[in-house]
Amino acid sequence: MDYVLTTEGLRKTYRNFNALNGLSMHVPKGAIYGFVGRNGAGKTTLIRLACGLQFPTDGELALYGASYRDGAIHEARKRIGAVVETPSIFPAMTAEDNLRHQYRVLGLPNYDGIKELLELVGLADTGRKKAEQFSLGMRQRLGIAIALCGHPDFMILDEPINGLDPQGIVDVRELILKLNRERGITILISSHILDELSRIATHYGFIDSGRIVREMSADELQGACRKCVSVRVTDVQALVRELERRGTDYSVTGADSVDIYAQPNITELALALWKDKCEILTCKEQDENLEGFFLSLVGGESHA
Amino acid sequence: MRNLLRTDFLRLLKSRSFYVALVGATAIVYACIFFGSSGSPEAKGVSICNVICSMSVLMTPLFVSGAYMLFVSAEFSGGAIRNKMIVGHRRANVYLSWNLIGLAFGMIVTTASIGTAAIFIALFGDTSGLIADHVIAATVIVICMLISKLCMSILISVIIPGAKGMLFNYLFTYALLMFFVIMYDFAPDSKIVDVLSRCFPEGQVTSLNVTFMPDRPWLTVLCALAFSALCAVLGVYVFKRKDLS
Repeated sequence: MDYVLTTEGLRKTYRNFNALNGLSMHVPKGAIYGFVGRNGAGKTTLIRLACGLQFPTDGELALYGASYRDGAIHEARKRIGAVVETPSIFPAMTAEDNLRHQYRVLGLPNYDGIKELLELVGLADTGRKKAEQFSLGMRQRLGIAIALCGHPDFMILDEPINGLDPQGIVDVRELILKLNRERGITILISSHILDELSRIATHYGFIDSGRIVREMSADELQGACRKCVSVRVTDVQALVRELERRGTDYSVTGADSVDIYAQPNITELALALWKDKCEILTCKEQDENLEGFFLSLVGGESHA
Repeated sequence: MRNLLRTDFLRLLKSRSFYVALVGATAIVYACIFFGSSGSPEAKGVSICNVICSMSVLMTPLFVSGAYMLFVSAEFSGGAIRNKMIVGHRRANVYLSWNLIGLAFGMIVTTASIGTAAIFIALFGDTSGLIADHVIAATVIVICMLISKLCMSILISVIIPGAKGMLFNYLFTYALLMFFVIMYDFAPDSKIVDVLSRCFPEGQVTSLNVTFMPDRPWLTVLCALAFSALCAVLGVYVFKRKDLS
């Protein structure tokens, strides 16, 4: 699989505080990678390192295969756009002037496409209004428009829906999906709003205390969050045979445990298994959503 | 680098601080002309030029550096500096671009203020007492002091961005002025104080004039430019290691 961003054993230390503690992550090309973690888990630190705003204390970080230690990283960075925390704008300039400025930073030969970008993010009618007079949502959208200058292949969005109203959230969600599907842009998006992330992400990285605790695809997560009855038995083979006979969907999760994706009659199942001398040891219903799954991974109280 | 220079220069031309500095620095010089017109007719040209020298060597750099610090700090306060890093510009290039545009800014302001004042004096003033060598030496020193102040203020902007940096710059200017006033009294023959006074505009305020040829002007130019280069190298070093948020 091609990866746009990879890190291995990445560390970032601020004086005595370890913000990243051996973080390893892999953002596949073409993915919408949901980056999930509590406040202070290290999400923004990782994003700052990926954007070249700060430097790792140790470990490896590569963009399009170019290590941050190599000069080639500067070329690789030309292919990315990002909104880190707050939008990076000049408040005294209009939306159009901000985009013109970014076009010049990128060295683009002309200003073609600025109008399209403004229309894409819904700021086409802001005219001579300065960015300092924009609402938070408008600034966020201007930040995204600036990140889109120069047609990047990879976008990094740090909490892009923070402070947006419901309509703004829907607009940004649709914009992200559009960019991913129509332009093939890989997107790394961090957010606290897990429900929102679950609507768009194709891959997830769960971060806790400066390290990735699990990376998985949306399909894998869906499987993990599926409503099921988790059964522990003395003979898994016997249970599998019985479930196959019944045509029930299941997955073997351990040497003595099986998740059954149905609501079986436990008495009937127990009687059927007893014929093969198989006993049911425990039986519990599981119904996890993304939040529950996240909490089960990182433990403790929810901060997400 | 060319993209950065173009970007910074066009932003400078659109920034309010540029025009405030331009008008302010020019106003200071013209105030010197009109308020310094008293005295004997023969000494008019010389006395006006001396007042301009004293004011330009301290006030113009202070004014220009303050305005330019606002210009640089705007990138930090709005977070726009991040956009340059994200798209792969090298930090050394970003810093050098600020320096080069700062020098262009200084030259534009100098031309507008001292340049037009020189033309004004040449056309309408009494230039009989002026010696060309003295005027040229003083002008070159004023420009070098402006460069020195600009390079130092850009370094301060990177270390302490925003209003705090500007406040520090003004306090540091005042502290230097006091330092030189005291040291000229207590250690007039100190070589270290002599070299330092040739690096900072604050050290030239009392000595620079067009009545006499400045003491070893080449040494002053050398010291100021060496100090400017040191600030630039130090600035690149600091900026390359700075964590941006």
